[in-house]
Amino acid sequence: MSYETAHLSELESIPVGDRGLVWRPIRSRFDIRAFGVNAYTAEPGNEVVEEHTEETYGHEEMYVVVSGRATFTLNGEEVDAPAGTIVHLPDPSVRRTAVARDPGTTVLAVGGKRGEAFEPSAWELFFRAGKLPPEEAVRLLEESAAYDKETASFQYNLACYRALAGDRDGALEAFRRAFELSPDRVRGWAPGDSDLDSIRAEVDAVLA
Amino acid sequence: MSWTVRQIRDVPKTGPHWRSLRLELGVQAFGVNSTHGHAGDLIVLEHDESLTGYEELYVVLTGHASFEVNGEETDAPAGTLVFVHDAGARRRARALRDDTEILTIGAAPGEPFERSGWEYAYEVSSYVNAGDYGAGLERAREILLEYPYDWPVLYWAACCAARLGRRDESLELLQRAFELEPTVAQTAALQPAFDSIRGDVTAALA
Repeated sequence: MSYETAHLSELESIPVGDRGLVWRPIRSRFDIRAFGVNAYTAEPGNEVVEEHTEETYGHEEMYVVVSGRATFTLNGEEVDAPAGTIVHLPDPSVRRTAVARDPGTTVLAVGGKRGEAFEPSAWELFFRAGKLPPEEAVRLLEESAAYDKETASFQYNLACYRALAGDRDGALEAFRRAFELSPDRVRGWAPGDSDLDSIRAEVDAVLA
Repeated sequence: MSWTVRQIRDVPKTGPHWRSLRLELGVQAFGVNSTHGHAGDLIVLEHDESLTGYEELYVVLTGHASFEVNGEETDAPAGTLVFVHDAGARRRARALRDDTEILTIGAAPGEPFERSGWEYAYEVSSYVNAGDYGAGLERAREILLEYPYDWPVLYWAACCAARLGRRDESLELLQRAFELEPTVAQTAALQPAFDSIRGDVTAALA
């Protein structure tokens, strides 16, 4: 088959975080290789775009409010966004979030890095892993073949899930690899992260 | 400003259906455009992406459309996603209801995004629509140096040449477009720019 179809309402619903955000995977559903694209849904008052920047991946992003109404907050500035609104963010450093205002608000997010071929980002895995028991999350990350595992964020998340699953040696191994790959970023993530409490002394020793 | 906020319906159309979102917003990491029309309108013109190698995702934002991909029809009410991963697949979409809007996102896997010559074709067509055929042909020639196989640019360049009375150049451009995209024959048959050389056009594209 040279094409596939789906309706937004048929996409998998994966709750993310604790602010009512529901991720509706599109890229992985169709195995899109050329750009990132996903949808998010939320009910009024809940997050429909999680607060983040794109500095980790350097992505240019475009959001389209497909249905309902949202309020975006971009570097602290609020933007009203009824259905049909496009929010284009070429600068990865802009801190962005959006809250749904109407029932059934759906926002489409499209992303990619300027001047570089698109590669699927492992955050898709982290979103999937978020609600799983730690042992299953470890298995999901270890068995994934579609994402680059040699990144600080991948190894760091693997370290967290291994630590939560009681695999101290495996957690420390992944943590050390994450630190080798990006010491500055790991120094920013690790100090207050309770996921690593079971190996805190070893983590502090690596960071020292 | 580090961001842009627009309502899709406020983005002006180039031609009867096309909104050039990528150019309007300055998106550089992927292709994105939108088409809008009313019941009966062919709002995604029949084409394939063989020249660009693009994967394309269509999102029906409003209204109701019917897609045809390699001859197979798919009903597509608002909220439908149609992903065409095969660049060679022929595709088109017709609006079944008024106020149908389809968002299109595209790029080639494994390559940094590069703009498609399609966008240039709309630029050249705007010269034709404005009656500025000399400027249109000049701009088309510049574009064709970089995108010699872009059949929409070739087609609009042929229109400009015909309007300027340059029969031979028009026919040569039109034949090149036709070799790349056979549906050019149907489009050219309805194009008033070719009325002065209609017999030659019909013979050349037979």
